[in-house]
Formats: sequence, structure tokens, C-alpha cells
Amino acid sequence: MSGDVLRLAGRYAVLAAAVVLLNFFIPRLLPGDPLTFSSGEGLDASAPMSAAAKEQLRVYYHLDEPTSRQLLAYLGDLARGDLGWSIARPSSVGALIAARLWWTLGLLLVSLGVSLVVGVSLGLAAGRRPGRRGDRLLVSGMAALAAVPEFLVAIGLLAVFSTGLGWVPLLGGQTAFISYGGDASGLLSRTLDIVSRLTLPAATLVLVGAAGFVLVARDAAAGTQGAPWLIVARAKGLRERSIAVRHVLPNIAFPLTTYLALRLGALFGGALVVERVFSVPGLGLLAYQSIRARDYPVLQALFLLSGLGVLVANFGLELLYLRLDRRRGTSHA
Amino acid sequence: MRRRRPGLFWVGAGLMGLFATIALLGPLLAPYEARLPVGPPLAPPTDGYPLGTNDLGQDTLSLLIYGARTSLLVAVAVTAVSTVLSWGVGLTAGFFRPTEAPLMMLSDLLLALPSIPLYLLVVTLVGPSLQNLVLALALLSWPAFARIVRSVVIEVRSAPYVEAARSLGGTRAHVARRHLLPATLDLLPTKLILTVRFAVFAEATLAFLGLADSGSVSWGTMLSNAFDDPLLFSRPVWPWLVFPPAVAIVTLILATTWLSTGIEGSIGGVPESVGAAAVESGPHAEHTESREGAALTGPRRRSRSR
Amino acid sequence: MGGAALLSGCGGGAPAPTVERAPGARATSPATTGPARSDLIRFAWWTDVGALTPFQVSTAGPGGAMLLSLVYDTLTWKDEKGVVPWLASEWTTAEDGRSYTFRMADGVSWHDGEPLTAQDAAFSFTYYATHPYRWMPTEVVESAEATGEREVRIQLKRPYAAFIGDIAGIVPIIPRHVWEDVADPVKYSGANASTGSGPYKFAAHNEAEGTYRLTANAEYWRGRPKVAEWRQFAVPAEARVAIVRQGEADLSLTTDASVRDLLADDARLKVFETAPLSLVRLVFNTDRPPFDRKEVRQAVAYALDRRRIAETITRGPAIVGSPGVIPPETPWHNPALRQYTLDAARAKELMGGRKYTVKLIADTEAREPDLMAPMLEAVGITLQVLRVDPPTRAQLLGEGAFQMALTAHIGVGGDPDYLRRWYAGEEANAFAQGSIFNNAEFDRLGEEQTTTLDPARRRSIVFKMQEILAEQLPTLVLYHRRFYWVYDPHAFTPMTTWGGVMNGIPFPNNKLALIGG
Repeated sequence: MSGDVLRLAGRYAVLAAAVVLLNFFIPRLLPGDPLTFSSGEGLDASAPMSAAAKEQLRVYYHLDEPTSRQLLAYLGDLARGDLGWSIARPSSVGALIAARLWWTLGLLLVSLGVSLVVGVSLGLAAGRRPGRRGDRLLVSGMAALAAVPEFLVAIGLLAVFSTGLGWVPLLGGQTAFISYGGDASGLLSRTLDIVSRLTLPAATLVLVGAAGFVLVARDAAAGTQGAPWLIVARAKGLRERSIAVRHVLPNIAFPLTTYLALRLGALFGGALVVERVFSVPGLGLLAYQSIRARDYPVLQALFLLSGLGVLVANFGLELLYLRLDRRRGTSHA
Repeated sequence: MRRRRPGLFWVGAGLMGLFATIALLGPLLAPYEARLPVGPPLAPPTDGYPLGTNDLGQDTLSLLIYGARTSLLVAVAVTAVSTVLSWGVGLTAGFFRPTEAPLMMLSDLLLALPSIPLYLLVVTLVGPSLQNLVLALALLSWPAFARIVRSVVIEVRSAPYVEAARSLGGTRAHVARRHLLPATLDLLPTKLILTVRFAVFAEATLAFLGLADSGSVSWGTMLSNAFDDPLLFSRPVWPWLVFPPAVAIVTLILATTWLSTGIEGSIGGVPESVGAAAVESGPHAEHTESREGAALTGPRRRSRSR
Repeated sequence: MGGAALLSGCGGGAPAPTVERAPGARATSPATTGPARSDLIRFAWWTDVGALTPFQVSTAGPGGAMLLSLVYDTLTWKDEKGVVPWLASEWTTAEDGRSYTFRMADGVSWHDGEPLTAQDAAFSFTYYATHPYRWMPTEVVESAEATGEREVRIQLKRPYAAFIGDIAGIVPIIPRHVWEDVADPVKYSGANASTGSGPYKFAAHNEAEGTYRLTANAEYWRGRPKVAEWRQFAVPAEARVAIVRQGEADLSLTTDASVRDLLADDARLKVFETAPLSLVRLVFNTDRPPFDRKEVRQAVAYALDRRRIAETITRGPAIVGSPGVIPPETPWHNPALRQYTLDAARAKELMGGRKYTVKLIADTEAREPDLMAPMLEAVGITLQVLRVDPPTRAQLLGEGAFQMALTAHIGVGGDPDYLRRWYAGEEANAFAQGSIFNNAEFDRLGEEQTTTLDPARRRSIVFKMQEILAEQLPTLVLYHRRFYWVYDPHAFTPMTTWGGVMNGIPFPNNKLALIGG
């Protein structure tokens, strides 16, 4: 049993190492070194860069040293937690990320949680009566929703609820410098402020992510409809809800876990779009601004962190999957 | 085996045909050269400008048509490169034992990585030209299909009739041609459609974010320009600035969804197929099949082929 | 429109105020409905402006210098009509124009309670000699010393016509007791780094969100600020007007003239229009082909329909760029220059049948290149547009790493010495840098006007400089534009400053408008 876990851990350790190395090699593998390739010489620049920025990059990439020493320096910096200095802002990359990390994490986790709960509930409800009107409507609706790119959903919500109806503030984040009392009501006000500003960005992510959960849950629930144990449970007079919770839910755990793992890869893209449209001061907006400014140290750090983050999350999910699999004994239907 | 294609499939096919025609005939169909400011800025639909004009006075309909060219061009290019790459890798990995491990590890790695930050880093380094965009998107989408091809190859390779063919003296090349290839061909249509869908999604989003080639006309940049206007929603013409490209994007993507129902959903009711297709063809769908191949036993797959 | 302006630069004694009233500026009356708010003004700018010290403030645009002006004071200042005394209550100029003696006002103290003395003024200029103020170079100052209790004498290396307006009116006076032991002010981040004498005290700065909080200095020597707190935050362009309308901010701006119609019926908000002190221009790198040839530059000028570009982008009446750079409706503008009205045939003639492919560096959101491309294509110039974010563009301009660049900035309505500074490589505003022009006559005239104290003579020299610019076109101004400030009159009353605040900044929050409550 722990052999499985060890193998899994080993695999992920290799992947993590690969991410770290990839992060080192990407700018070096592309033709030319990061400076001449990206900035060319003045007029030949595909991506023009100032001399000061080039100099900073030279230092950041340790370009004056042989590659092996560059690698050692890079690994050493990482081990120390040093992610370098931003070219575009007078700050260390680590500080820039730390100031913005919680906005993005909070937004993503909350939306993931909500879309999971809402999606699964809707899906289960529809799956109980597959083929009926409500079910067909739901499935078509989700299919239609899944055809709309995130940024369109974001703009749509912005146009209707913020600019249009004025129900929600335009910008994400929090109101600057509001000082709330340290007491409970102050905390409440602050929370409400943040919640109202993050409502639309979160709603966008939920809408985009829920479709998948709905369909996974629905398919799984529909798939169990004819199962003998379900018929027995119903015959015994168990209420629908307890049936759903105690019997159907565990059944959909597998596909759900699979789908969750899928969603993780897509989250960063979602954060990027949503934070850009709603000006949430998170990592997505930082990424967006850093591209404009060609702030490579920041982009490399974001790539590394998101890569490792997704790996960690996937590892967790696969562990969960292993455990579920074991509990069920044989492979499920 | 009879394949009953749902009605939606034909709708999707028809739409795709329409888009393809528009893309091919673009300059002939468009009333104006899209990038030329030809009319009064921010005009509602009037004589000569059926969909109105944008903030520079460029004709919206012409922009829409030229945008179709960009979207489809990128989609076709990405699909071609990605398919060739993944098919090739899958065949190689399945057929030549020694290459299997490294190739599969590579595809595993690419799948494990979140694609957006990778794309951002690469495109910032190499520049956002159309060609780089195509290459980057193709690189993000090949691993999934490669795994599937490989597993099919392995299955077929060990099938009795193949063993028989080998024992009867068939060369490896002969076996490959007559048995493996046809087996993998069945998988192609799905891959094509899914990749087209992925490419359209990705191109539109990247263009909107300003990360694609700003020199080309694209539905995404049309929306990006509209959105950059601080007074957009206060202008009465704003629906004409926002809806045409938005509807175009959504319609093209829906067309691919409907097309995929006819390809995958050969068995089972329509709603299921649509649903499954919708889920598995989300913007980052290229990871779907791979996840199954990667570590799990593939419950999704099974239920789909039910 | 603009009345005749009698400019007196720096004669002896108190400056004679000028007559100029910035035309087109609608001064507004206080709100007719509801009481005035006195707790807060929230200003939405487009970016973070750096730490609020003279050594770390951002020079990418005027946002930083303006915010700094609320925290620090200068020797002189400007109101609607011209230069007025500020920290210096009066001053005299020496006969040769090479030194100024300022008498410091009484009763001024720093935010930490220490009194502001002549020593501080002398120290400031001495310190700036080795650690420059980023927004205005003080290279012309040779020495500064306190010659009495309340007197400071500033010695210049040569007569400098713009001294009272530009240097004395822009350079912040800093406290000696904070900075005298600081060897590297660019890295200094002590708690007292932003100690000034201005109407507002620095309270907080959040870099990630680009937000600033300033609190009123109740003991401000010029009068108590009307509003207790000034907050500034960074908002992307597309949201700026919307957040004022939503009530999240009280003041922001746009260059889109259609905002006047939009808000015409708004009961709560008003629009304040400034003189056309901002401009959009093409900078040619005259050191590199093809723009090392005057004919090609002039061809570009004839090929572009600048009126149409201006109308399309500002969505208002076009103010076509003056080839001499200095905008119309300002005192130093030369109206009798050679013009470049649209003439594609003439442009092709000047091109002489040659074709070029040119890289244009522009802002990521600029729309002008899309309008320019077909116009230039028609005369044989193919445009490749490279889009970069504003700070990168500023850096590239600063280094001369470009062929042609599109930039937009303020700072052209004040003292005309900036023309000389641009081409001498001394311009501080990052968006105005990058001007390359090797013309001996122009440089000579530039040097001459800077030391000419007689207003009439100086004027004719500046006029001639504009003629050279119009003929040689090292830069082509596409159009001049106004700023449209959207504001809530309950919270804020805008003010027009003669020639723009400091060196031609068309902002409505001159600190004079904020005090006296």
C-alpha cells in the first residue's frame, strides 16, 4: 500500500525537479541568450528593452558565468528563497508576490469551492431524472456556457452588474485605507467590502468552472440510477437526500477528483483574465503587468510557483484518489 | 455499425463550413479592407456600414470577416502542427520501445505544468508574433493525444491478428501500415475538433489580453479595444462594438461542440454527448485524455464509451 | 480666447503678474446641492508614483511631482495669474541676473514640528547639486547660502531666465535635519523620509495597490486645508470615469471630449476642462536613417491627416499640433510658423520615390498608429508598430534606442526653456525624453534665451527657435489635447493655474485650491 504512495511521491518529485530545471532552461534554450534574443539590438528588437533592464537581467541570469555555475547559482538562490529583483518595480520579486498571493489564492479557492458545491448539487439533482426536461435544459445550458470564454463572461457580468445596475463596485481588492475598528463590526465591514468587490470576479470563475462539475455529477448520478443497491435503498424508504449523500456521492468521488485535477491547470489562466478585467491586485494582474514590462524575473517566479503549486495540488488529489480506490476495493463502474 | 449522427452535428458542420468559407473568401466578401478607417467613428449600423464602425472608423463587418480569417488560420495551423506532432510521438512511443519512456515523461511533464504561465514566459521571450502563437499553442496541446495514440498502438500491437501477421513474415513497416495506422485514424476526428476548439478559445483570450500579435485583426482585439474605452458602456452604440465579435467567438466554439457530438456520441442520447463534449472540450481540454492515461484508470473514458 | 500675455520673467523686486487667463477653463462654482464634504478627496490616477521623496518619486508623468507638491513647498508658486511668493515672501535679483536673494516667510514649520529656516533652503540647493531632484534639474545653481536669519542667497553659474518660474517654483525645499546625514537618498527609506512643510502630511503608501494616504497639516502656515484627507490610487484607464460616477473616487481625468456630453445631465458631477497643455507627438531619431533626412520627416508631416487623427481620438474639436511644439493658447506660442497641411502629393514628392519600413514604438493602448499606418503607406512608408508599456517606452526614448516613437505628455505650457532642455538631454519627464536634434543654430539660440532676461528679446529668440523646429521637424506634434477632469463638486473645487502647475501640468489640484478652510 505504501508502495503505491511512494511511487506516486517519487513520480511527483521527479516532476517537481523537472519544473525547477525547466524554469532554468527555458530562457536559455530559446535561440540566443535572454537578452539578445528578446531585445535584439535596438532596431531589431522584437521586444525592446532599456539598457538598465538588460543590465539587471544580466545579473539575474548570471550571464557572465558558465552555464554550470549559472545552474548552481540558480539552485542556490532558490534554496534561499531568493527569487530575484523585479526589473519594472523597485522591489524584490518575493515581496511583490507575497503582497498579492492571498488575493489570488482566496479568489481561486473560494470560486473552486463554490463551483464544486453548486455544480455537484445541480448535477445530482438533474442526474436523478435523466432525460427529463430539467435535465436536458441543464445539460444544454452548461454546454452553452462552456462555449463562452472567461473574458466574455467577465465583461458581461461587469457590464450588467457593475456598470449597468451599479450593484457592485467596479474594482476588485479592497477600498483603500478604510480604517475599520479592530472590533467585530469593523471586521465585518471590512469583510463585506472585500466580498462585494470580489463577487463578480468569483462569479465569473464559478460560472466558468461549474459547468464541468455539473456534468460530471450528473453523468455519475445518472449512471447509478439503475444500480441494484439504489433500488433497494429506495425500496427501504430512504429519503432522496440521504440516498444522495450516502450512496451517490461516494460514487462520483472518482470522476470528481479527476475533473478537479483538470481544473487546477486552468485556474491560473482564469485568474489572469479575471484579475485583469476587475483589477484585483493579485498574481494574475501582476503577471499581466509583467508581460507588458518584460519583467522576466517576475514571470519566471510565477511560472515556478504556479507549476509547483499545481503539482502539489495534483499530488494531493492523486493521494485522495488512491485512498478512495482502495476503499472501494475493486475498480468502480 | 451504424452511427447515428445527431441533428446538432449537422448544424455544427454547417456553421463550420460557413466560417471556413468566410475565412477563405475574406477579402472578397468584406466591404472594406478591415484596417482602413473608412467611416465616421462609433457609428451605428447605417448605409455602407451594416454593423457600424468602431472608435477609429473601421468597418465592424469587415473587421469581423478578417477576424474570422485569423481565428481559423490559427486554429488550422495549431491543429495541423499539434496533430502531426502528437500522432508522430504517439506512434513512435508505442512502436519503438526505447523511446517510450522519455517521450511519455516529456508529455507527462508538459501536462503537469499549468499552461498559461508557461505560455506567458515563452511569449514574452520570443515575442507575440502569429507564428510564435501557433507554435506555442501547438506545443501546449500535443501531449494529450500522444498518450492516447500510444496506448492504442500498444493495444493493437499485442493483438492476436498482429502477432499472426508478424509470424507470417510481415515486416514491421507492413504491420504498422496495415494495422496500426488504421486503428489510430479512428481517433483523429476527435483530436482535430478538440484542438480547433482549444485554439479558438486560446487565441481569443490571448488576443483580448493583448498577448497575441497586435498586428493582426482578431475578434479578441476587437473586444480588447472596445473594453479599453473608458466610456464604452455610456455610448449608445456599445452593443455594436461588443456583440458582433462576442457572438462570433461563441458561435464558432458552439459549432465545434456540436460537431464533436456527431463524432463521439455515436451511442447514447444526445444530451449526454453534448454534455460530455462540452466538459471535455473546455478551454484547457487538451489535458483531458492525458489525465486518464497518466495515473488514473480512466473512469471518464469508460462512462463516455458506455 | 487667450488675451495678450505680458510675461515678466524675473525683473527685480516682486514679480509683475501676467494677464494670461488660461482660456477654455471653466472655473466651477461650488455645488448647488448638498453640503461640501470636508473629510476626504479621493483621486484616481493611472499608476503608482513611487515613494514620496524628491529622490524616489516617479518621473513617468506628472502624477508623482503633483502629489509631492502637496507634501513639500517651494520658494515660489503660481496661481491663476502668475508667479506668487510662497516660502519666499519676496526676492531681489542682482543686476547681472546671476544671483537671487530670497527672504523666507515667517512661521513655517516642518511636519515634525521643527521650524523651516533659511538654512533648510540653502541646504536643499546644495544637496540637490550632488543628489538631483528627479523632476527638475538644478544644474545651473552654483551655490546657495543662508546670508541671514531669514535670507538665502542663491548663486547661479550664468543668468537663467527660467529660474523663478521653473527652479524656484518647482524644486521642493527639504529639511536639513533629515537629509544632511543621508549619503544615498535614492535608497533611504527612514520613517521621516517624506517630511515636508506642505499642506498635507504623508501617512501611508501601499505599493501593490498603488494607493497613497495623506492627512491634512492643520498647522499649515498658509491656512488650514479644507479637506482632512487626500487619497490617491491607481486605476486603469477604462475604469477611471466609471469609478467617479460610481462614487468610489471624487476626481479623475480623461482625454475623451465626449465625457462632456455624457455628464451634461449629471446632477452630481461636473467636468473641468483645461487648456490644451498636453500633446501627442512623434519623436524622430534624427541620428538614424531614414529620419536623419529632413525631407522624410517633412514627408511624414504632409502625409498625415492630423486633424482627422485628433478628432477621431479625442472625440472633440481638433487642435492640430503646432510645428514649433509650443501649444496655441499659451503665452509663448508662435502663430506665424510654416504649417504642414495635409498634402499627400507633396509628401510623395519629398520622398523622392523611395520606400521605407519603419518601426514605431508606441504605447500598448495607443490608437494613433492604426490611423497613421494607411496614411503613411500611401506615401511609401510601411509602419511596423512595436507596443511597449509606458515605462519601457520612456526608457527606450531616454536611451535613443528607436527610429520613431509616439509619445504623449504634458509640460509644454510653462516656461519655454524646456525646448532647450529636451534637445540638451536634460529633460526629466520620462515621456518627454528621447529628443535628438543636432542643429547648431538651435542650440545657440537655446543657450541665448536661457540667459536673456529682457522679456521682449527672449520672446523673439523663442519664436525663432520655434521656426527652426517647424522647418527641421525633429519632432512632429500630432495634436494638442485638453484634460477633462471629472469631479464631484462637493468634495473638490478645481483651480486653473497660469501656464499649468509648476512646469505646465494641467492639473486642477493646485494646493491653493485645497487650503483656506
